Amino acid sequence: MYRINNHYEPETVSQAISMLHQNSSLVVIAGGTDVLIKMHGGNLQDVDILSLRSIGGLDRIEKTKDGTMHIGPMATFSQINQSALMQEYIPVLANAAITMGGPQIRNTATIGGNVCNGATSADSASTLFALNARLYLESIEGTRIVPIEDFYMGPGKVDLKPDELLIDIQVEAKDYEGFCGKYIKFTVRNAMDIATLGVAAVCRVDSSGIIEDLRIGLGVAGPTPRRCHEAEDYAIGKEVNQETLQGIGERAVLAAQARTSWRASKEYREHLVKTLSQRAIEEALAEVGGAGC
Amino acid sequence: MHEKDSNPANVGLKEKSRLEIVVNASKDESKTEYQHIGKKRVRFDAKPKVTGKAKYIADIKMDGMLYGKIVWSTKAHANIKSIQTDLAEKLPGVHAVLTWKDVPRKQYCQAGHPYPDDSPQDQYILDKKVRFVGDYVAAVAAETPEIAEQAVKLIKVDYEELPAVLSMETARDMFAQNSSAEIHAGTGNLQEDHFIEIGSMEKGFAEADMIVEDEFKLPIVQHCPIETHISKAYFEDTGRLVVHSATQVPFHLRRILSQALDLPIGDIRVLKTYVGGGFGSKEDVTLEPITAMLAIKTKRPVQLEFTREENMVSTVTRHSAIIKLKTGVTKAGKITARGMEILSNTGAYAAHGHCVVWNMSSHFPTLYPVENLSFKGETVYTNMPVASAMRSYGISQLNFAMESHMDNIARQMNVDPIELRLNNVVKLGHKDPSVIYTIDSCGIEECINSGKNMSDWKKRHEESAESGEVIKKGLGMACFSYQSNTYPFNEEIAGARIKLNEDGSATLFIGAAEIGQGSDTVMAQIAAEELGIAYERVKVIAVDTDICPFDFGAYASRQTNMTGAAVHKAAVKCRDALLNYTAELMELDAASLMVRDGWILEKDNGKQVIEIKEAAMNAYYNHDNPLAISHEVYHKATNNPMAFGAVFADVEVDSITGRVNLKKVWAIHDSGTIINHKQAEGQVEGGVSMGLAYALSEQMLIDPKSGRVLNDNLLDYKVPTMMDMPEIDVVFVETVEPSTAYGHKSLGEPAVISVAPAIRNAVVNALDIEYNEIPLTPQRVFEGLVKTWEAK
Amino acid sequence: MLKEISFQINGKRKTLKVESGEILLDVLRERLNLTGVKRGCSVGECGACTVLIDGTPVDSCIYLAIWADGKDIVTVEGLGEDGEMSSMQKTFVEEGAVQCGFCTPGVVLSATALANKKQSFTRDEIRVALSGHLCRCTGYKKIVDAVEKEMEEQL
Repeated sequence: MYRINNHYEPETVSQAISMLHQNSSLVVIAGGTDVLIKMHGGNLQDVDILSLRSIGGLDRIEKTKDGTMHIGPMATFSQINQSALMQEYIPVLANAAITMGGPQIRNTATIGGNVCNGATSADSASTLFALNARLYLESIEGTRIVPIEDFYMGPGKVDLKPDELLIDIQVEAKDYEGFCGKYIKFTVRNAMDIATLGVAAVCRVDSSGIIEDLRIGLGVAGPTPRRCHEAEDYAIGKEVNQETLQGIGERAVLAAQARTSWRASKEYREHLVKTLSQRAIEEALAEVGGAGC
Repeated sequence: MHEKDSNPANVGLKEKSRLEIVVNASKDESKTEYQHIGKKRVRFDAKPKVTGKAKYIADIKMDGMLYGKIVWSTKAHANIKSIQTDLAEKLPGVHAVLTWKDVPRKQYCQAGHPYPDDSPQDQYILDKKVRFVGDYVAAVAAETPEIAEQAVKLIKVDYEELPAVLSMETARDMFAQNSSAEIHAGTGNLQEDHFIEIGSMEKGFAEADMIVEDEFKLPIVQHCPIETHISKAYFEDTGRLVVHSATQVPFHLRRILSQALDLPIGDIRVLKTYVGGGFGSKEDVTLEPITAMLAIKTKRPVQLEFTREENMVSTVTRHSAIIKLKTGVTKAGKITARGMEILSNTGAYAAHGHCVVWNMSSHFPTLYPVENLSFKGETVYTNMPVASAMRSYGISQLNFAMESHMDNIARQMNVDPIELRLNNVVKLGHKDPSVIYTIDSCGIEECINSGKNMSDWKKRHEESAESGEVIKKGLGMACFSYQSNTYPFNEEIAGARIKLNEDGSATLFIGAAEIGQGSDTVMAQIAAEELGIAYERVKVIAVDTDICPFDFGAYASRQTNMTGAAVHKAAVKCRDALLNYTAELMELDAASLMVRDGWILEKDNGKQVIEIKEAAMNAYYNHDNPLAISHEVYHKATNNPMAFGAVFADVEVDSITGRVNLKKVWAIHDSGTIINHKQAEGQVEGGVSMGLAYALSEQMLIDPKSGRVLNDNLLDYKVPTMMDMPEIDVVFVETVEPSTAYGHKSLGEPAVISVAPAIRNAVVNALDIEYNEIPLTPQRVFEGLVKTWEAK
Repeated sequence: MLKEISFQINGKRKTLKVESGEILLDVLRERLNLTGVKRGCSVGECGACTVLIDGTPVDSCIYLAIWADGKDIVTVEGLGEDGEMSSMQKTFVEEGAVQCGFCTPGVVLSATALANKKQSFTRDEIRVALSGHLCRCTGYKKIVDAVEKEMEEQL
């Protein structure tokens, strides 16, 4: 038995945000795989829960006419992995989704919960960073759009006001069309594991092998997920070759703020950032032959 | 050079044709003369398990049952100044709160050892002092788990902290001192040590052309049975205490409970039903005494079930160790002397403690007999989780060091590590000078050679350096020997009682513990074999200490050897009783009769004489001279058959990230005759998963400042998943062990032993870097790579 | 806060009042006596408590009972008919995929959900689909063998 006082199940987003407005101490729960584990550990108890499970449509994955991909925050990792749209247009995210937890967790855990939990190890985060995802946050005041890079403020801390709800995750066509991508989740085990490091790279290379665009997202390389802007700026306009890749790897480390913990040392994490960022780009290009995402 | 053994005492392989090499159960089972031994028999507890009907302890509800919960120490080493329990006691629904004042001041040792147990009796059910983070402080029993948990939080403990010893090296450095950091008074934190020298080390090293020294470091690991530790205690109508536990040692548990609770053995009844895995962790008496105390205090049934976190920290672990080896070897590859020094960490209490090191010293000379050898073992107390028995009882540590060392020697000599092993490996007929083992069956060379062929050793091992720029390929191997019981260290016995029922079915009562390994099924096969009845007609009753024969329990891979022998004898006695009865009834010669397929037959011509069920019914209801057919037999060990095996591992190592990808494992075992191939393969495959995790991923990490376990959960403690498993080929080299009824030897623990060193040796082969510490996590492999990069 | 929920459990309709904080695992085990649902870790790291919710494997230890309202839940007790084992269960028994048996109910349920997709899967795909179950006894090989064999036979 978890120590939950009340459990509310609004059926629409507007009901939910009005309840949040009235009681900002409500704990929002989506799949429950993070919140309930916190409760098991005694880190959270005697709370009122606001469940999003009865709100219809929040799990949709769709592409609008302008090419923008909409990912409902209640979409589970399994849904994202199996979505035909995702597999066709943003396979990097579909593939990242299946690295998360085990099947039962993926059948329950949602991308919105994963993002709002604020963990640097979130398996969706590095890829969403690399995709320039935009988060739509709604409150009774209206909708606020926050680029994912600005959303993460510290460990477990995100730019989500107590009365706000994440209602949509969007990736614009310009950020995925023509890109190829790869997420490498580096772990000790091959399933049911937490990343020692996560690296997502999306890039667009022209027919002559020149990097037109590159974005690299990192997880567990610091207290929050992050982008490797210096590496990206360095890469653009350069030909894909060993020297360029090496330069990218060296600059990717500059974005890291790794520290030594019992899970891994700073030196090792930095080494992984340096090498796996290069590998992610190589594998992204290899998988699609450098054409399309 | 390796020569085929020509020892006339070739008893184990007396019939050459009976040495079969069985690859992946491709054996033609119709070939043997047995009806049930070596035949496909589906374990009879599989159906209840797969349908969810099997009732494990947590599945059994009792009227008025209370739930226990423990207050755990948050300090690594401290005296308890006071415990405030009043708030907890006042909480509605709480029925008992126990502290050290409420339990018998009787010392005991939690190890499931035989009697007399000469291990330090260094524990109380609850004590005034705590010795590690996760030690018992107090206990509550309440009407619901939630109330019990709330009560635990209301108990305030005031500690007087003592200096904590949080590494085995620190503990060793303190032997001479008598400080406040002494965990058990008067020990200097040395639990026990011993030293053995055979021959002359001086002479042996003088004869050597090369001396190689190594030091190996082994981590703390945990058993992680999927069912956590659990027990129930309650009173029979007569007022007698019943303890129902997920235990591997029902009779030892009863005896140790009697000691800790200060109750006569006869006043305690222990029950064991389904157990959700043990691997040695349930060979210790952990939560049972406090569960019983809560029942005694409340006069109500009490269940205590550990959470995963509690199970990780507060039950038992495998000893971490530092092992030094020094070996002298001639140019011809003959070992002339070998010395070993081990520092083993038993944690806060002795438990199986130094007995594990004794087991190492008894196995040390077996695999590669050497004329001159020395062994020094020291076991220290630390303020860390209790280390005790775990699958292989020290031999995983010993074998990792020995077999890694063998490869290091071969590397220095620039010879094939298989050649070095074959030059020195034990031969059939060998009598060990120190521990009274004789090797009466020995398939070790066949195991090695079979793995060598299957893995394409010569080519693959030598060409490893030619692998890709990033992904380095490696092939490694290791081999082992392992006991089939604890003789001669214990004069052990095992019992079986068989009732051949009126309808010719049999009820088999045993005290051996089925914990998932399939021993009940094997015992039923043995009974059916000798009784000549269908396997399905044997019903196994185990374990109720009131009605089942005495047995030592599930450890030392002993049950098929020991209990199997008792079952065999009891079945033979029942069969003979029935044959004698039939012979008399029908005026035949009993010696001319046999049983098979539910019939009594004439031996010579196979003619059916009478159906067993008819003969049995007739015997029970004979008007003049009724005969009930029931026999209880105890088997006493008179020797200790050695099982052998070799494991080959094929790896790919990412030379940039250090991540090891285990591609394939060949596990080749000489466990004598295999009684149930499917189950035997299952044991080996499970052993591979546990062994590969020892090599690559599992380690219990402890905060060096607080002594707190950092990864007390199944996310951070890396038990392998289905996706971490390599392809596995299991091979049985079936020698015939002459001392057992069917030629069988141990298998349960052997399965795990050489997996880790084989993988380690494969990684060394791949990278040309000697790694002498496990687990080979990506970071550890990387740190080895960094040194080579820096050297360049 | 008590709430009445109504759901299908192993083919039968059930209506219950549950507390907000009640865990599905506890409701199944303690109130419905479906003890084939096992507790191994309570935090979704072992898979022993797996049940099928609307045909999908879910860890019942991190699933609120309230959420079961309107759902179709199957536990291991709901497999098979008329006291007979399901074909998948039989294959587990035959192939030696069961040892201590504690992880078994959950694994069989995930395997059943996979087989119900009526597609063919490679051995590696089977391993991915069942990777949310820790088994400490078998080394998984015979489990994968059983599932592979059963799925081949069903197709």
